[in-house]
Amino acid sequence: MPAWILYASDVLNTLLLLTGFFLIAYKRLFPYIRAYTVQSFLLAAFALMLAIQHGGVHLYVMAFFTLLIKGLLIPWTLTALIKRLEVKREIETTVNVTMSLLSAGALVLLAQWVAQPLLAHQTAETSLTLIVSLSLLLLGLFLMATRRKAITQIVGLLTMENGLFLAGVAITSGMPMLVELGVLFDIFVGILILGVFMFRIRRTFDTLDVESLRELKG
Amino acid sequence: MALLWALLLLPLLSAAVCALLKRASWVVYAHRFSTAVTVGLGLWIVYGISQNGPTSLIAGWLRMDALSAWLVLIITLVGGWAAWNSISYLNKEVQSGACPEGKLREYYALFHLFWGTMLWVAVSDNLGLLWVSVEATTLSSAFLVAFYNEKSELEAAWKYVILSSVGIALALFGTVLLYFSSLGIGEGSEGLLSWIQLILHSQQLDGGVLKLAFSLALIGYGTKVGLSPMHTWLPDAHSQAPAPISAMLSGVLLSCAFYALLRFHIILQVAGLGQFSSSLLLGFGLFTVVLAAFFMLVQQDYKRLLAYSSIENMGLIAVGVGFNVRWAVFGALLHLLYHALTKALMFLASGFLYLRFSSKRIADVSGVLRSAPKLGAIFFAGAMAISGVPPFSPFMSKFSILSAGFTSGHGVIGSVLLAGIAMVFAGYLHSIGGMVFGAAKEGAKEKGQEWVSLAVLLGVILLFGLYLPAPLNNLITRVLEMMQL
Amino acid sequence: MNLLIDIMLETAQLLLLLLLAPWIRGLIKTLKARLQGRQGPSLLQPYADLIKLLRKPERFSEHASWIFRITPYLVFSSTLTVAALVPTVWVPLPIQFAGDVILIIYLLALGTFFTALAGLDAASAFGGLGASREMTVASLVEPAMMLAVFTVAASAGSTNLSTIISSQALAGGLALSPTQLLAFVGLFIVVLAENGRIPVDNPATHLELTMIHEAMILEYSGRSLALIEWAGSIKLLIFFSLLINAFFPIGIALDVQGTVLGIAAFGIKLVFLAAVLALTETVQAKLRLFRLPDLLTVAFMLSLMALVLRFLLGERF
Repeated sequence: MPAWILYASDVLNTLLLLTGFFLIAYKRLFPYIRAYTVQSFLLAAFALMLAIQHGGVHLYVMAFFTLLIKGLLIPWTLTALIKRLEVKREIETTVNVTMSLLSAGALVLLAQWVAQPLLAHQTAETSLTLIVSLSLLLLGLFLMATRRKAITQIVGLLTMENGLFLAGVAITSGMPMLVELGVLFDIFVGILILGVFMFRIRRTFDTLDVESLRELKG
Repeated sequence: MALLWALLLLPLLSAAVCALLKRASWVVYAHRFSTAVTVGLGLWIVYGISQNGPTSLIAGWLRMDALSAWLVLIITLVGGWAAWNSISYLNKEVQSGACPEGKLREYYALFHLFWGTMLWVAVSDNLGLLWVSVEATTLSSAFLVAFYNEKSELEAAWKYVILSSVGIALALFGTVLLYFSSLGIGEGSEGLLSWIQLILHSQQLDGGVLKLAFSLALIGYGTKVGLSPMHTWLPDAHSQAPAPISAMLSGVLLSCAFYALLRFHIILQVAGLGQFSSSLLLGFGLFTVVLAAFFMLVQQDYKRLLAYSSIENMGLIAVGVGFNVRWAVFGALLHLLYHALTKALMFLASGFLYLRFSSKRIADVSGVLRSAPKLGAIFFAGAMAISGVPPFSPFMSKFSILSAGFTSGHGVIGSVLLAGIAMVFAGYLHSIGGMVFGAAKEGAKEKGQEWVSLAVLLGVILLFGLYLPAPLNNLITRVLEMMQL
Repeated sequence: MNLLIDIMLETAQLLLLLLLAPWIRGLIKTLKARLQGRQGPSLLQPYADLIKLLRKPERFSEHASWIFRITPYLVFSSTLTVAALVPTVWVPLPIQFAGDVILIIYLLALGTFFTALAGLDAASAFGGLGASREMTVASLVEPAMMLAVFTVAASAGSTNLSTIISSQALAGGLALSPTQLLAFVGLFIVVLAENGRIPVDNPATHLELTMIHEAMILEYSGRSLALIEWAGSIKLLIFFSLLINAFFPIGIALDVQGTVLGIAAFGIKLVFLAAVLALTETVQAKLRLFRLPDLLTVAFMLSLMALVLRFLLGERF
C-alpha cells in the first residue's frame, strides 16, 4: 500500500472525527449543517482515495454520487428547508455542550471497544477507519437523542449513515454498486419525506421543537 | 417466471395509474381490478412454489423459496382484504366529509406502492436489496400513517420514520458485516450478499463477525418488528393510521420485518451458531411479551390496545423461533399467518366501529352487540380468536409454541408466557367485552354489508384452526428443512 | 571549546526570542489589518511602543503592595527562562537538562498566577474581574495543554522538550499521525486561550464586557507595562515555537552546521503560523464568556482523545 494512501487515510479519518466533535459543539444551525457538509465531502474524498487504490469503476461512481447527494443535494435541501420554515437558528439541547462533549469522548472509546472483534481481521490501515466510522454512528445516535430540533435529528440520522458508509467502504472496499446506490437513494427520499413532515408539523404545531411531540403516551 | 415479474411490477404500475387518473370512481375501479389480479397472481405463485420448490428470477438478486412463498401468502391475503375493505371504509369517510374525494387518489396510489414494496421484500435474495425494500416500505407507508395530517398523526408518523430509520441503519450495518464475513469467498475475492450463496458457504463465514452482524440485525430489523425496547413507535403509528392501513402495518409489515430477521437467523443456524441467535430471539421475545401484556391492561384507546397486542404476538413469534425446536418454529410460522389474518380482522372491524362511534376511546364505545349485532359479534369473536381461544387458528399456533417450549426444557419461560397470554386474554375480555356488551350508546344504525367480508375472514380464521391445507403444510415443511429442524 | 559554543548558542537563542517577539506581534497586527482592508501599522511599531513605555515614568496605586511592583519582573524573568528552554532554531539546547515540559508549563502558570494576583492587588474593579475570568480560563486550559503535549511526549518516550523535538525531527520531522494531528488542533485552541487571542479574548479591547487579560494589567504604566507587554509577546512566540517544533520540526538545526537552514525553516513556518492566526482572528468573532468553557472543553476532549487513542491503538498512531 503506497505511503501516501496511508497518510491520506489517516488525515481524512482525523478530520472526519473532528467534524463529529464539531457537530456536537456547535449551537447554531448553519455551522452545524456546514460541519455535516464538510463531513460528506471528506467521505467522498475517502471513497475517491479508495477508488484510486483499488481501481474499481464502481468506487469512482460511489465517490461521485456521495459528493452529489450527500455533499450537495442534501445540505442544499436542508438549508432551503431552514429558510422556508424560518427555523430559529439556535439549537436547544437537552444535555449541555460540555457534557455532550465529554459523552462524545466516551462514545469514541466505546466505539473502539466495540470494534475489537472486527479489528482482529483488519490491517493497520483500516482499523482507524473502522473506529472513526463506529464513532460517527454513535455520535449520530447521541445527536438524535439529545438535540431538540427536528432538523438536528435529521442531521444526526445522516451522520449515522455517513458512519455506516465509511464502515462499509473501510472493511469491504465497497459493496456491490447497485446496493450502495439503492441505499443513497433511500436516504435522499427519506430526507424529502422528513422535510414534508416538517412543513406539516410546523403548520399544525407551530413549532419544530420535537419535545412538543409528546401527546401520544403510554 | 413471467407471472412473478407481473406480481412484482403490477402494484407499482397500479400506484402510478391511481396517481394519474382523474376521476375518483375510475381510481376505485382500477384499485378493484388491481387488487383482484394481485391476489390471484400471488396465490397462484404460492401454490406453484409449494408444489415445485424454489425458483430463481435473477440469480443472486431475486429468488423465491418456501419462506418467501409463506410471506407472499400473508401479503396477498391480508393485503387483499385490507384493499377490499378500504373501498367501503373510505366511501364512508368521504360521505361523512372527513376525507375529500381528491385525496382518494393519494390513498390508493400509496396503498399499492406500499403493497408492492412488501412483495419485493419477499422476493429479495440479495440482502442489500432486502434492506432497500424494507426501507422503501417505511418510506411508502409514512404518508399513509399521517393521512389526515392531524396533530397526533403527524407525531406518530414522525416517530415512525425517525425510529425506523435509526433501526434500519443498524440493520444496514449488520448487512455490511455479513458481507464482510464472506469476503474472499465470492468471485474476484469479493463478498457475498446473496442469501442462498451465504447459506451454501456458511461454514466458511467468520463466527465472531456473524454474531455481531446478527445482533445488529436483531436490534435493527427488530425495531421494525416491534420488539421491545425498540417498540415505542408502534402503538402510535398503528393506532393513528386509517384502519385498513393499520391492518396492513400490523399484519403484513411486521411479518415482513420478521421475515428479514428470520433470514439472518437461518444463516446463523446453518453456520452452526443457531444457539446464539435463538437465545437472543428468546430473550427479546420474552421481554416483549411481558412488556406488551402489561401495557395492554392500561389502554384506553382500542386501536392502541390492538397495537400492543401486535407487539405481544410478534414477541411470541420470536420466542417460538427462539425455542429452536421443530414444533415451536412450526407454531411460530403458523402464527405469522394467523396473527396477520386475525389482527387485520380486528383492525378492519375497529375501523367500522370508529366510523359509527367517532371515538377511539374504549369508554366511548359500548353496546355494539345491540346497535350493530353482526359487527359486534365478529369483533368479539375476533378478540377471542386472537387471545388464543379454540377452535380458532391462533389457538393452534400458540399451543404448538407453548407445548414445544415446555417439552424442550424451557419450563420457566413457558410459564411466564402462559401468564402473559392469560393477562392478554383477561385484558381483551375486559375491554372488548365492555365495548361489545352492555347498554347501547349513541351510534349510527346498522347499515350496509360491511360485515360480510369480515365474516368471511373470520370464517377463514376458523377454518385454518380446524384444517391446514396441504400446500401450506408443504411450504412449512420445506422451511423447517431449511432451518435444519 | 564546546562550552563556548554552548554559551553562544544559548545566548543567541535568548536574543532571538527577545528581539523577534515584538516583531511577531506587529506582523500579526499588520496582517489582520491588511485582511480587513486597512493599511495597518509599520512592522517596527511594537519596538517603538516598547521604547516609549520604557522611558515613561511609572505610577502605582496607593493600595498596591509589593506584589504589584514585583509581578512585571517576575513575569518577565519566568518567561525569559522558558524562552531559554524552548528550542526554536537549534535542538537540543545546551541547558536542555532542565527543559522538562512540565516545568515549562508551570513556569508559565507562575506568570499567570502572579498577574492575576496583581490584578486583585491594585484594588480596582477591573482587576478583580479580569483575574477571576483569567483563572476560569486557565483552569480549563491547563489540562488540555498537558494532554496535548503528553501525546507527543508519548511518542518520544520522554517529557524533556528537547528530546521530544529531536526525536520527532529524526523521525521525519512531520507529525502525520492522526492522534498527533488531533493534539495539534487541541494545542492550537490552547494557544488562542493562553495568549488571549480571539475567540477567547480580544487583545485590543478595553471594554468591560470583553476584557480578560487587558483587565488584569490595566493599572500598569511605564516600565512595568513595557515588561509585561514584552513578556506577553515572548510568550506568544514561545507557544508558536512549541506548536511548530513539537509537531513539524522539519528543517530544525541539529547542530551548529544546520543553523542557516534552521533559521530559514523556522522563519517560514513562523510567518505561516502568524498568517493562520491572523486569519482565524479575522474570521471569528469573540465568544461570549459563557461559551468559553465549551470551546475549551473541545480542546480538552481533542487532546484527551489524542492521548487515549494513542495508547489504545498503538505505535503507528
